[in-house]
Amino acid sequence: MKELKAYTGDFDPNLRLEDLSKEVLVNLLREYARLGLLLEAQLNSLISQKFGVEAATDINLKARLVVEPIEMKTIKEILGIPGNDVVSMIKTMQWIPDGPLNGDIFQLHYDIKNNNHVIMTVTKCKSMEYYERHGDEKGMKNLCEVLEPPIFNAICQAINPDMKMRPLKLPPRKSKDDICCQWEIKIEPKT
Amino acid sequence: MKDLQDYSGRFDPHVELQDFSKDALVRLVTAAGKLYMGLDGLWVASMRQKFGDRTAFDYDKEIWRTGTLLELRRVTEAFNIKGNDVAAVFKFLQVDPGFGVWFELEFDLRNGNYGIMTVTRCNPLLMFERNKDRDLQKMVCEEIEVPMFQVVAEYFNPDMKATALKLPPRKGEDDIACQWEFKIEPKV
Repeated sequence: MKELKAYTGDFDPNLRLEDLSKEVLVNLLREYARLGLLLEAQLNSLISQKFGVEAATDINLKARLVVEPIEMKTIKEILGIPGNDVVSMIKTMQWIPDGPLNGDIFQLHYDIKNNNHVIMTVTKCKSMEYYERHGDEKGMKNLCEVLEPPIFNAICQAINPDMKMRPLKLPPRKSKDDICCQWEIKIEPKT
Repeated sequence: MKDLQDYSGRFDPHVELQDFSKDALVRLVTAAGKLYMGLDGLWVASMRQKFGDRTAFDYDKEIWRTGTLLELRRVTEAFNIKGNDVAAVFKFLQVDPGFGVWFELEFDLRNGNYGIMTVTRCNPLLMFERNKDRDLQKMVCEEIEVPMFQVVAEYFNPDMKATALKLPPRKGEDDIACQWEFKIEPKV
């Protein structure tokens, strides 16, 4: 089996992903994560310019409410992650392409109270930093208050329909040393 | 370094991509490529519902004009793909997240200045066929892919031309999806 560290050599028509070294596969995954978010940002920006932020948010929300559960179920299956509790959910969420997989974009801290109760703190969020840098409070509000809560709940409910995620703290931040946001994730059986 | 085949064990807040086995990483790369393109399909579907086909298609074209350049820059950097011949283009297309990672391709590289790429299996085309969505198929294959392959060709060499030799619709399930010629033609 080859272990290509780069693709500087001859073109190989039969090259497979398996021929790449782990290092290259890791870089590739990080780039995929970044490309997905850039594509999303580009779409939001184009639709916002022509139809307004609300229309862009609506389109993005509709698409992501479908794609996020698919992402979660796909990643859970290919990584063989068992269970349907909160810890199973955060194990899965660590590897979704538009999640914390690329530490340059998002950094998260988890406080595991028990398997069904976790506090998740986002300590770095490039998307939020973008809105801070541009002084775009409306854009930030749309992302953090309109888009993320239902998307996070869809992510949770892909693993367990009784799982809920609610924000404990949302932007704007008081300072650059402040956390970006904080969420409580719990299993709350319907009564 | 760990060599996790999967993530069935305990939650590890410090686990990194490097801790997974190559096999697990290959599965993740393939899934990420599919999800990357799947999100685009869902945006287009939402846009069609809200603003109609023409607006949705025009926006998708606009997004891919920028998106293709981002893919080119980031993927060639990640793989250190250099050169200005057809081989360099084929190397990029093999590992592009929205393309070679999950499409089935055949390459016939005659020399550095000439090659033919055949897409023998294209998952979006299978979906368009299944849904009998000829409008979306025409938009993707003719309005996005034709200029996109030219952008890819020119990124590597301004004298390179990408020409569609065959485009959908297919005659039958055994037919190829599409076929493209890449040729370097110095300006006279």
